[in-house]
Amino acid sequence: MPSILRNTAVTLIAVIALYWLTGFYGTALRDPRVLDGWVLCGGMCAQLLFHIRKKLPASPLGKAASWLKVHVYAGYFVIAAFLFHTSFSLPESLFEWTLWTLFVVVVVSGLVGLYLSASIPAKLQEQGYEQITFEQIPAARQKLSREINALVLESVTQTGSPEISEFYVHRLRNFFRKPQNMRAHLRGSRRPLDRICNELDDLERYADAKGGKLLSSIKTLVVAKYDLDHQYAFQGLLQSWSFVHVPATYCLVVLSILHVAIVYAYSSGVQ
Amino acid sequence: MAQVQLAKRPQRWDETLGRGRIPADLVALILSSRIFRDINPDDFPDDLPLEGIIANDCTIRQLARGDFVYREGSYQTSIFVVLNGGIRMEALAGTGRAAGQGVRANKHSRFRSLLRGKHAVTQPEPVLLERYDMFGELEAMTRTPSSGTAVAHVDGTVLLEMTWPGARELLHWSDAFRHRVESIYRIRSIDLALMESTLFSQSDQETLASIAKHCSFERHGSFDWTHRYQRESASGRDSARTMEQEPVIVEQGHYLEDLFLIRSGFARVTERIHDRERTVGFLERSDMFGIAEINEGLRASGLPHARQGLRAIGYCDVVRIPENIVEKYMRLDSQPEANPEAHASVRSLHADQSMRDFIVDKRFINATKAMVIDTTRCVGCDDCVRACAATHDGIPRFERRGPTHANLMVATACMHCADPVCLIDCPTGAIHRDAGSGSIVIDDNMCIGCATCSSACPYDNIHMREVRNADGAFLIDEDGANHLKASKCDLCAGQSSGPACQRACPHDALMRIDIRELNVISDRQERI
Repeated sequence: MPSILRNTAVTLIAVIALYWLTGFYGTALRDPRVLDGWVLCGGMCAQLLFHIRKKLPASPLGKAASWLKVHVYAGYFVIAAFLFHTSFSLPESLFEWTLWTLFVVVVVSGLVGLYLSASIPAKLQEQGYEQITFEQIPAARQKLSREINALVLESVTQTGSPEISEFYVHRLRNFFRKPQNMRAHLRGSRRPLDRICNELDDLERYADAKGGKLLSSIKTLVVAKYDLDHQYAFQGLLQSWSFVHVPATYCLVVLSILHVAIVYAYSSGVQ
Repeated sequence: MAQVQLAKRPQRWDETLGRGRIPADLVALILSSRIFRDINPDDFPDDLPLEGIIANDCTIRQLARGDFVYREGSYQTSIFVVLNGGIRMEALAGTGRAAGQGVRANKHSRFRSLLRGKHAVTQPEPVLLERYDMFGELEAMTRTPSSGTAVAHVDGTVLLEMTWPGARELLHWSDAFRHRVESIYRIRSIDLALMESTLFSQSDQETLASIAKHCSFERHGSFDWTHRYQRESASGRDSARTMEQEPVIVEQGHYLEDLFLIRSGFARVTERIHDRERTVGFLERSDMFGIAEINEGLRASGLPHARQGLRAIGYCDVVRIPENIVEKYMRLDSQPEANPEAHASVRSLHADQSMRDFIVDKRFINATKAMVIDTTRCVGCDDCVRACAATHDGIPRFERRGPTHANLMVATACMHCADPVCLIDCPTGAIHRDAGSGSIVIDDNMCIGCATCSSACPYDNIHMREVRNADGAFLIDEDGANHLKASKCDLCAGQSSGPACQRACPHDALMRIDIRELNVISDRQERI
């Protein structure tokens, strides 16, 4: 049986078991929220184990890939426990709203992260870019910037005409200096690139042979920079979701502990 | 805290490297023995005297009856000479005196035989080695696992163990020693090749000895292939040009008068399309080339012609068996009809042509533990790098970059090669194979930082790192240069759970694989 089916089946069985248990607990005139609350708490603690595993990369605690699988499927189970615990209803107090919102942020960021992790590497692969790590992108950008500078200087000395250098100053300097057109990249649009290329084509129409050759080289660098920005946008996205997921998780843990303390402090012997 | 500390740079024969030294009187006695008598000390340079090599790069081993020198399948890189007593070689070919005496197939070929439902291979009688007999040269020179087990036959057996650095210098500087070792090497190579071949697995030792008389041994390319390969890689030549540089063993279409058994190294099987060659697959130790053509020639009573070409990748030792001998002695069930699997001898990589070219051209077929990253899964989280650093005092032993083809990146991490050329020129033997696991490891205490291994690695997977003392200060020599040590992936030696990088990857993108097990590659390719 494929592992995805097996894991889904196990998760579903656990959810059904929890549903049955909470019902049984209620029938026994006990407060089912105590049961599903503690299950939720336990589930959330179990989720933290993955973070601990990641903090101990060299530990002989099994494969991180297996831990991630458990993290994901246990996460689905925790969502179900959360829904049971909140009785599928919205919160009433500010504190509950805060808890609820944090939980939703953690879940949504986790699911988004899961989707991005599964889709972006494959998408970048499909687009056939030269593999480059996120940390190497600034160095690659600087290299392109140096190359374009050299070409522009060459254009001044070789053609004696200022068109290319003026175009560089007005249109390309900022483009090469830092990542540009992030929203267009994330939308998958190549319109900004087309615009620059069209302008370069316009210049090329009036350039002599030397200038045309230089413009052609500049265009190659422009395309390379655009592709680099594309990688930067998606690899950045791939890195960034965890900056939401992890802090929100820690906030949620702190508030959940407070929630449990408050519940027990103000209860008169919950069963 | 001191920033730097002045210290003498370690030298090859420093006593501080922790090895014993053979006393001068014993060295003189050894050099006067029959086996060293014809070696001329004047052939050796002043800074590498023969006495120094024997004293520093050799050791004396005293064994009681039943003590193991090495076991079949283990890795050892020394050449041994029996100085006293005797050694019983179990499952090893003849000693040179007794060519054709048996060897049991190595683990690899025996396993393959089992898979193919072969009969049990010949169980030879042990061979006794006497005073001044030499052994271990096959394994030391080809950097392959031992084909047999060496056990002390009598109490009081004394061996001279020439560690690889010493043996290498003797082979390099002394023609007499080199010729002696090579002649033994050739004879034993033929014996072993015949014993390991499934074609003759029912033949007795006498028959094998008579077959051996008709066989010839050839070396194509050079043991030390790395520098040429590096030059070719740097020149950026295309695949076809790279292939043209490889020595031809068999030209496609030519008359095939011999069967070729691969003894060591790798060979590329090619097919000519128009006027260019394409890679079909490769052959490695114990594989054969030409059996289908010879069989077809026999059936059609015509001359067999090579349907494919064969080229040495780096270096390749082959044993040639004349066609008429194959016909005379081949096992009946070795006929293609009886055992077609055995005749699908080309290791056709289960990958598309471009991937096949990538793997063979880049010489990744050498990799037994390549770090391959599936780029459709890798999210660049660097957990693998962090895990490596955490296991190695905060300094990662690899870089998450490297040649990429389709969705597979072969990262810059030691691949623990089947033919580890980095070992060849290490002056102290600091970089060596772990005898048990076969992993390539560096003994930090013995590394003198000469960077020979680093420059020899064809894949640029060994790096030199600066050495610090216990207080964190850099060690520098009298010229102000940093002391260096070679550093590379050691597969997290000492960690029972295996390489930390692989375990740390949350997306199952990183694999440590034997690239020759290519179903892993094709599985990953199919996922995209």
